[in-house]
Amino acid sequence: MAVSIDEARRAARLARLALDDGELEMLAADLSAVLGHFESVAELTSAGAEGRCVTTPELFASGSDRRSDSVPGPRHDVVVRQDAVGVMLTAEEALRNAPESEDGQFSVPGFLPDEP
Amino acid sequence: MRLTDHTFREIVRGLESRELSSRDLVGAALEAIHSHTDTLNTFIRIADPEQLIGMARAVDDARARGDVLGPLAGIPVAVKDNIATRGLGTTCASRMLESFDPPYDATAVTRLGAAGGIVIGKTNMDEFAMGSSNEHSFYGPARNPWDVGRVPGGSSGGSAAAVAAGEAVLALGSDTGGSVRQPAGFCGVVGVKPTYGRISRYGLIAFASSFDQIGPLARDVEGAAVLLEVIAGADHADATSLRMAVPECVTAVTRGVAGLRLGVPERFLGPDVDSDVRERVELAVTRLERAGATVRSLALPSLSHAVAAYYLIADAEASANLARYDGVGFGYRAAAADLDGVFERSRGEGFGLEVKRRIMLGTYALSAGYRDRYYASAQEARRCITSELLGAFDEVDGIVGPVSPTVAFGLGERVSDPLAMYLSDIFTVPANLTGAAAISVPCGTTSGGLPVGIQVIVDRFNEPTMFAVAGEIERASGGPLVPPTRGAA
Repeated sequence: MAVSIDEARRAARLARLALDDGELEMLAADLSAVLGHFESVAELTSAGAEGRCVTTPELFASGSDRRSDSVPGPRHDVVVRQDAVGVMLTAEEALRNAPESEDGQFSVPGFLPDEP
Repeated sequence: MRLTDHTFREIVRGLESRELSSRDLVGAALEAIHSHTDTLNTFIRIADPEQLIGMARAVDDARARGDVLGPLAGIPVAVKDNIATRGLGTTCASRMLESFDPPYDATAVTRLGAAGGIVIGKTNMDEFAMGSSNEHSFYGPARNPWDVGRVPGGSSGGSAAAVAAGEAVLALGSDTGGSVRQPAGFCGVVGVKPTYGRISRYGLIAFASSFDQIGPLARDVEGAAVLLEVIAGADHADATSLRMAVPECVTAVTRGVAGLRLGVPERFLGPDVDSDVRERVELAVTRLERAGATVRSLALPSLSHAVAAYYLIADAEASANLARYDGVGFGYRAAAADLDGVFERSRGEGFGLEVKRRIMLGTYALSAGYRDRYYASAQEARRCITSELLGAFDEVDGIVGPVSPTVAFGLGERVSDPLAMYLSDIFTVPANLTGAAAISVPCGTTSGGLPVGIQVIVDRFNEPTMFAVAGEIERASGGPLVPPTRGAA
């Protein structure tokens, strides 16, 4: 699986990563080498497997229940905490690590066009 | 005194009988850190020494008064720098978080403190825990106390090296694909990857959320068991933390292995394993048999997909988790005229090469046209591996084998060959893929004088069996290892 420079550039754009030409060239080659080695896994789905994820409840299910989709058994449900009022970060604390802030808000360069 | 002169139990008994003081321990840790700073580079940040001595003195005074103290009272603990500590900074060894000070402590750190542990500093690591050598650190590589020309392993290399070199009694690391166990093996200490969900991930900076677990490091098995019991348990701040009682791990350490059924996967002692490593591991397995365990071979063919499945899924998760570093809310911001420029350049300049490589691999594997081929296939492989490995626990109580195919390798040897670096994780990623618990224990040294780690993998929730086997291995191999004293170092 050879990853072209253009494909690497597309991935970098998707990942919002500024890479120079040297980095793009190197990472395209690295991705080609690594994905080339991983092709045997790619063949699993082309051979008709469903590609289903291990879900969180499955990860938590205990004992032999875990090993077969057809055997029912106790499952460890994902627990959601009580919707209760608690102490959260103050705005001041949340802004303490901001590279730039202004009037109690995160500050970024303008991204809306000027009003006509 | 040197911290490496004592087992964990000796330290605890020494404190209880007041033959040792917490001031002795903290003083010894600080002295070791100071004398190794230029050679080992284990810490990114040390807590204020005066404050540390003050905390130690307070514990000593409380003990003198007869107060009831926690199980880690007055014991210096090192914490990997991807685990949040308010006031001590948390950099993930990245330029991206160089000046980040978390607004809260991780749950594991809070529990450590509540048990009386003293956080002595934050340890070096591979940037964002991505690496197996500690060479991908913005702060330069940590080095192996057994041979400073070699890597300490990674990504928790600083934590493992700090414990081995007597710079802390215990340490916290994190294990996403082997990042506690492999450096523990390379540095001759004990490292644990608990069952997924056993320890809260709250405050552990996310790399790959379905794999990440905080894990203890110690010079001996009992120390690791005590630390695990202290920090484990349900936490409402982490929806994936297990809602079940923490089993007794410390008492299991001396239980022995009589009647236990152990399995060795065929490929774990195959031709890819260095003969030095294979011999030490085989000897340890023979000793387990002599102590009453039965040992059989296991096929586990799906493990041939483990490295690929792990890297595809972990990097896909990383590409999503690391999207939060955008130069806006916290972390490094590059100068740019427009918002897209802030995003792209902050990430381009703030992340190191390996992190970019992982983000690129994960993004590519999830992108339109490739998702089914890579990400979905990897999930399928994960399901096969999970079913096969956990199925094996119907037949055996534990799986044993090497932690890594080699001992610690030389600095610079693999850093420019990412594939070779990834493939060396072959024996550690199965536990992360399946959520199983695993431990790395020293089982002797090679003829070249480097430590070899043996791994014990057990079914989820079965840490006591893991500690029983690990305790037996430790006793049979002559107890904890001590690195050679290195001249002026």
